[in-house]
Amino acid sequence: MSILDTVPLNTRAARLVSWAQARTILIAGFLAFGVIATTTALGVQAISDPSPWLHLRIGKFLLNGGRFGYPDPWAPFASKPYVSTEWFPAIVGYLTYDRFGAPGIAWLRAAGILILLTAILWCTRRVANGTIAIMVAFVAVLGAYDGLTERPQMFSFIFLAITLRTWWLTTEDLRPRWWLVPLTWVWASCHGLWLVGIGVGVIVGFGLACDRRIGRHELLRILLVPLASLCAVGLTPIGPKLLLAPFTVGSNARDFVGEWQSPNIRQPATVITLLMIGFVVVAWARAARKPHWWRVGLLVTSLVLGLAMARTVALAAIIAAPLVAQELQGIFSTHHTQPSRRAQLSWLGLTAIALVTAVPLAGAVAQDPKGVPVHLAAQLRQIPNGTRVIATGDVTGWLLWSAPNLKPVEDIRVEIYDPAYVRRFIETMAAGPAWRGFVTDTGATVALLKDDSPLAAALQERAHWHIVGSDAGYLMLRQP
Amino acid sequence: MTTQRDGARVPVVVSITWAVALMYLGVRPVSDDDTWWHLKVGEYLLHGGAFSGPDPWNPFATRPFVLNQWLPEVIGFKGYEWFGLPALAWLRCVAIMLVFTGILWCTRHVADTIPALIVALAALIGTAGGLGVRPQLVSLIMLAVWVGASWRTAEDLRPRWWLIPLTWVWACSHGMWLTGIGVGAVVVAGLWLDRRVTMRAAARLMLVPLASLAVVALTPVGPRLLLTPFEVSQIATEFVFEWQPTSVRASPLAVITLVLIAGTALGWIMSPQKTPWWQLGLAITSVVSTLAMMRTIPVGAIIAAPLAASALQSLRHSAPQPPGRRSMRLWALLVLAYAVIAIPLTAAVAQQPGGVPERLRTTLDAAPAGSVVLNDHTLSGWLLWREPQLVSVLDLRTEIFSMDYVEAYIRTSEVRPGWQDFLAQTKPTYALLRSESPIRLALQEELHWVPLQTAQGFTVLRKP
Repeated sequence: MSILDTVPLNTRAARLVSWAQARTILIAGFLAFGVIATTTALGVQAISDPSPWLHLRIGKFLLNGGRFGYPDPWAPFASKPYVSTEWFPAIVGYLTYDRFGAPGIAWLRAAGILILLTAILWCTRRVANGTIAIMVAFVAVLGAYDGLTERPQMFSFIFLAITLRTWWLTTEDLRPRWWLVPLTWVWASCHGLWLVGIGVGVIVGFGLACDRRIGRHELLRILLVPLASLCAVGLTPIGPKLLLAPFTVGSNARDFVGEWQSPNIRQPATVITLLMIGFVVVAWARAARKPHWWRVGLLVTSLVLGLAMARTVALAAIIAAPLVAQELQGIFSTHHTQPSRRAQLSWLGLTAIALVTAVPLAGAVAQDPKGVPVHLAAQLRQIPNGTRVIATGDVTGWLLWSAPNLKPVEDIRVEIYDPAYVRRFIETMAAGPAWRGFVTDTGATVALLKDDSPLAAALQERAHWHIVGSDAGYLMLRQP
Repeated sequence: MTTQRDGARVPVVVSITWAVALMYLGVRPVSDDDTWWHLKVGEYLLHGGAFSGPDPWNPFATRPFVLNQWLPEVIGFKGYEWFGLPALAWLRCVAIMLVFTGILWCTRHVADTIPALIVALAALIGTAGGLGVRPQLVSLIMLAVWVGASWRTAEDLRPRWWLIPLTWVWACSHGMWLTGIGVGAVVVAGLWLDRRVTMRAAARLMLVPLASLAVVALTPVGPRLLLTPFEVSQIATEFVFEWQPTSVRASPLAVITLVLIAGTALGWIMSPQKTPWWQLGLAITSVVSTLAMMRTIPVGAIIAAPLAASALQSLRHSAPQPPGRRSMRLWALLVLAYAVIAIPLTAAVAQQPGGVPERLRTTLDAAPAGSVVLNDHTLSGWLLWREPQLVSVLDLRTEIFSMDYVEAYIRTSEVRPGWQDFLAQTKPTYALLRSESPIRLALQEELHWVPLQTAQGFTVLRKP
C-alpha cells in the first residue's frame, strides 16, 4: 500500500491526489522541462575551475606529437614522469577550444551535465515512475554539483551512471553485460575513476551471492565482467601502468590537494548527498521487508564515497539515486510502468533543444574565464623562455597553457613531485622558515601569487621583489 | 554488572581490564591549552569576581565575558590550590571513569554485560577528543545521564523530573547543556511519531526538556546564559579548529563513532521489525553531531552507545538480563578503587605540565608589568595564569573579541599583506611564538625583533 492510499476519501487531499493522478503525464512533462531548463542554466557558466587549462595544454601537446617522460617537458623539478590518464577528453577539449574558444569548453560542461542528468534518469526511471525519477535524478545532479566542473571527471560520472544501470539490469535477469568491458576501456582512456565502476560490479556480484540468487558458478561468470574490464584498462595506449595510476596519483594528492581531503559537510552538495543516503537508511529501517544485500552493498559504497573525499561526493550521489528513487516509488505509488517510446523521445528532444540553446548562451556568458589573471597573459609570454616561476598551485594549469615559455617550480600535477619537495613548496607559500632557501634553490625569478598570500608579502617586504602587474586577485612579481 | 549468560568471571575480568585501560588513558600530565584560563576564572570568582560583564584581563576584548563554566572552574581551582597540578590530573582521571560509567549505564540497560562493556569502551574512545582537563568532561557525564534517562522514559513513558535540577548543575558547568535537552526533545517527538503517546502525553513528557531549558536561565549567570551557545559559536565556528566541520579521514574518533552508528543501522535494516522513530531520531542526532564539528564527535559517540549496544544485543536473540544489585555494588567499588589508586599515580606523573614552555618563564618574568605580548593563541591561557602581569593580544576565549579583530590577528600570524597593521593597533613589545612559525621569522627578519630565548618549541622575542 502506498502513502497515497492512506488519504481519506472525499477530502480536499483526496481530490488533489485524484487530480494529480489523472495528469501524471502533464506533470512529468512540466517537471522535465523545468529540470532540463534549470540544469542548462546551472551548466552554462564561465570557466572557473583551475584544471581545464592544464588539460588544454596536454591536449595540444599530445596532438602535436608530444609524449610525457622523464624529465618532464614542462616542470624542471618533477621527480616522476607524468602519466596522461585523461588523454582523450584532453584532446577533445583542446580541439573544441581551438575552434570555439572558452565558450566551447563551457558548452562541453553544460552538455556533460545534461548527459549526466539523462544517464542518472536512465537509472532512476528503471525503478520509479517519471515524476519521481526526474526529481531524484535532478537532486542527484545537485548532490554531484561540486564535481561538475570543466574536467574529464565528468566522463567518470556519466560512465558510472551507465555502469550502475547496467549492473541493475543484471540483478534483474542475472545476465552479465559484456559490453561493459569495452566501455571500461573508453572510461579508462578518459579519467582515473574507472575503478569505481569495476567496484560496483564486484559489489553487485557478491551481493547477489549473499542474497543466494546465484551460485558459485554464476558468481564467477558475473565477476568475469569486472575482471575483464580490469584487463581492458591495461590495454589503453598508456599501457598496464594505468592500472596503478589511481594509487600513484592518490598518494601525493591525499596529503596536499583539497578535493582529496574529507568533504565539508556544511557544503550544500554534501548535505544533499548525505540526506539522500540517510533517506534510504530510514526507509529501509522503517520497512518490514529486508533489502537485498547487493543494494545494501551499494548504499554502503555510496556512504563511504560520500564521507571519504570531496571529489567522491558526486559518485556517492549518483550511486544513491536509484536507491532513493526506488524507495520513493514504494512510498508514493505501487504501480511502476516502464517509460513509453514517446516519453523517451520527448526527453531526448528536450535535451537536444537545451544543447542547442546552450550554444548562444555559452557564447554570451563564457567568453572570459573567471579566477585567472587573463590580463597578465601577454606580460607573462614576453618573459624569456625557460624562466622559472613560483606560482600559487591553482593557477599553474592556466600558467602552463597561457605562458608555455615559463617553467613553474611546482604545478597542479602534484603527483609528479617528491612529497618532501611539495612540503617545502607549501611551507614556502606560507612564508615559513624555508621560504628563502626554496626560492633561491629553485632559481625562481618571477612569481604569480594571490595578492593576500604570505609569500607575496615576504617577497615584496623582505626580498624587495617588485610588482609588475596584477589581475583577478593575483600579483605578478619579479626579482629585483 | 555481571550476568549468568556471560559467566561469572569474564565480566569481572573485562571490567578490571577496562578500568586499567581507562587509568592508562587518564593518568597524564595536564596538557590542555584551556585548563589554565579555567583556573584563572576559578580564582577570579573565589576572589569576588562577577559572573558576567566586561573582561577583567584583556584590554582588547570588546564583548562581555560570561562565566558559563564557573562550577568546575571553582572546583578545579580549589583542587589546584590544595594539591597542585596532580589534583587537576586526578579530577580528569576520575571524570573519564564517570563518563565511562555514564555510558555503561546507557549500554547495560539494553545489553548484557559483555556487549555493554565493549560498546561503552568503543564509545568512550569516540569521546577521546573531549577528554581534556576541561569543564567539557562534565557535559559528557551529564549527556550520558540524559541519554540513559531518556531511553528509560521511552520504555516506561514516565517523565524523569530529576533531569531538571541536573540540567541546572550542567548549565553551571559547561555550555553543551543544550545537547541533553535536545536528546530529550528528540525522544519525545519520536514517541509521538511512533504513536506510543498521545499529543497530551507527549506534551507532559516534553515538560522535562522545556523546564530544563527554563532552569538554565536561573543560574547565577542569569537568562543571558540561554544565548551563550550561539554567541560563542558565531566566532568560534570561523576560527577555532574544534568548531570546524569534522574531517572523517583525519579523525579516527569520528570513524569509530560512525562505525557504531552504521553497525546499528545495518542491524535495523536487516531486521524484519520496524525501527521506532525515537531510536531513528537518536541515530540521526548522533550522525549530525559527529559530522557537524570536531568538538561534537563525543556527543555523537555517547548518543550512539545505547543504540549500538542494543543492536549488538539483538545478535544474541534474547532480552538483556538486568544488572543485579551485587554487580552494581561491585562496579561502584571498582570506581572507588580506581579513584583511590589514581591519587598516587597522578601525583607521580602530573607534577609538571605538558605542552607549555615552562622553561621560558624566567625570561617572561623579566618583562615589565603591563607589557603587551604578541602570543601564539594556544599559549594564551597559560600566559594568563602564569604571567598575569603581561597582556596577551588574543586568548582562547575568542568570543570576547570582535570578528574583525580576530581576523586581523590571524592575518598577522600568517604574515599576509598588511600584517603589520595589527602590530600598530595593539603595540606589542614582546612576542611568544612557535619557533617555526612564519610570524616569528617575519618579526626577526623584517622588524629586527630580538630573540631572547627559545625552548620547548617556542621563542620569546623583544621589540628592538
